[in-house]
Amino acid sequence: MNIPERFSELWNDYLEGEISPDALTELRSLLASDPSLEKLAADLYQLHRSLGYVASAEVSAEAFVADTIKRIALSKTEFVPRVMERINEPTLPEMRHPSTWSWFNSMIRPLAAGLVIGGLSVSMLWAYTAPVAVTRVLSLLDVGGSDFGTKNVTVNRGFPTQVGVWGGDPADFIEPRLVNGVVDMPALQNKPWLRFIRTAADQPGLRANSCDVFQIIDLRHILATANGLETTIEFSARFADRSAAETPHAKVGCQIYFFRGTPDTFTQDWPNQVPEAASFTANHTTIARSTKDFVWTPVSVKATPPPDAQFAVLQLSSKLPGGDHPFEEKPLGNHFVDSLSLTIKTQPSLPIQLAKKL
Amino acid sequence: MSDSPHSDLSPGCISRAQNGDMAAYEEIVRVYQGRIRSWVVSHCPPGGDADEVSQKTFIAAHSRLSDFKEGSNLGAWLFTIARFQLKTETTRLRRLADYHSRFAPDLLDRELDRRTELPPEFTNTRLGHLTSCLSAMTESAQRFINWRYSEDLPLEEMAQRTGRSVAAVKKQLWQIRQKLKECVDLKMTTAAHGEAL
Repeated sequence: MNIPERFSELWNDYLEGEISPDALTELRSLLASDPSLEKLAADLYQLHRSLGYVASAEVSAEAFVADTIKRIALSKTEFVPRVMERINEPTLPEMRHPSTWSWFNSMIRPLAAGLVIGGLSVSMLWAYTAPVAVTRVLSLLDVGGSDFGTKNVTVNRGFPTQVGVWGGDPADFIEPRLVNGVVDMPALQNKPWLRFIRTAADQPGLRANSCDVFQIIDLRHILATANGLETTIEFSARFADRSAAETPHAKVGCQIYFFRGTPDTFTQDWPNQVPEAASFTANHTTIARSTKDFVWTPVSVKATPPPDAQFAVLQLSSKLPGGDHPFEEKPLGNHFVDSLSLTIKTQPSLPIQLAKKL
Repeated sequence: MSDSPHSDLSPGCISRAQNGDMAAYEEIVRVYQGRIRSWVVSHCPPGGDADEVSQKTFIAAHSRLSDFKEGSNLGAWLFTIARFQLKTETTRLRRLADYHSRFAPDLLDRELDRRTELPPEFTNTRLGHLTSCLSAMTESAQRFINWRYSEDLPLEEMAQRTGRSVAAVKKQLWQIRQKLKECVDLKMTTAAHGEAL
């Protein structure tokens, strides 16, 4: 087959990711004019992808197997099966037929819990959304470094070794900067932002196409003061990507894992502890890029901790497509997180009668 | 593919995996990952994460392992799941706001879709021929392939290393890919003739 020279140039540019919008239009009309070119284009595309696969297949085979088995273990702890278990549990008789005392109890207990928690919490912001529900919002951007304000604070490398401190893959907290008298990065309420610097593998041999940072939250005090009331925890953040247009789109997200036991006995072997999680919930999304403005995308996850959960692990991620080289670390640098917060809401279980009315 | 009666797996591997033995399932993943990944990678639309699709295939297969009937073809069953996972990935990509403008998947959509219906063995055979054609290439061509696909070097760096222009490097890569395609096509045709005889 005699391949038109122009098609060769254009298709080569397409495979190399260097085609311009005008050239793309030209390529489309070339392909439309000759059906045999469509087949040739697909042949060369498949060859191109297969070359990428052949280049890494041997190296990555064992890592692929290990990673897949870990993900299966993780999927066993997913939230939905546990919710289904709870739905299948028999409803408590007192909920089906609430007595006058249970109504009274449902009003008094949260108020009492609110007073107790309020007395103990100094650094938390409180908001009452209803007389019987208590909402607390914890800022998670207290970076804890006295150096902050003069230079960036690097997130500790590796899984955190203590409660309340961020740790993980290469990332740092950055402060707003003045460039020629103009705020270059106008942070919300002067809070620092988290910046993902580079992707890395959780362990040698695993895929390195995401940057993940973690914080361990001790739930014992929170759940003890909830006094048996229904507690929901919402972990939220806003993400922005200021990477150049030709870089791959990042998938960002928040996750919460709940664990039994105590944080003190939590061994530093992430992600091998993941299968031990009592429950787990996550939300990931692909975000838009903009080199000019900060386009913030809010992402949040909400979960009810299992009654016997003692602590939680929060995870923030920015993940690039694995592409042909998922085991290589890749620079990020322009992926930011702000408005990090953990909202803890305590409220009585809704009476079943109300649910029926709805 | 010779998966019925699953000659690549140890005896009883599937039933052990069905009974919850993770080591047995790991063996299944190890044996089939190459075939699934190479098939997915060559049918995955531009911008798609082929290894993610492959992993989801094995995760979904594990959750439905009890549905697999002893004695049927495990490879064919896995490829059915892989096809479904690939369609899911394609749908996910199409919903991305700027996917079409960035990757122009319409250029390949129809032909790639059609090829997912071909027997998976076809892809596997082509991959085998590709490996053999690669090893028969000149040292210089192998170096370019290595830079481009193993080291993921930018074209500019390849140009700098060889003292050529970026345009010349692009042309060189095109010629190498074209030669590889011709070599693979020839081997496919020869094999088909051999079978016919």
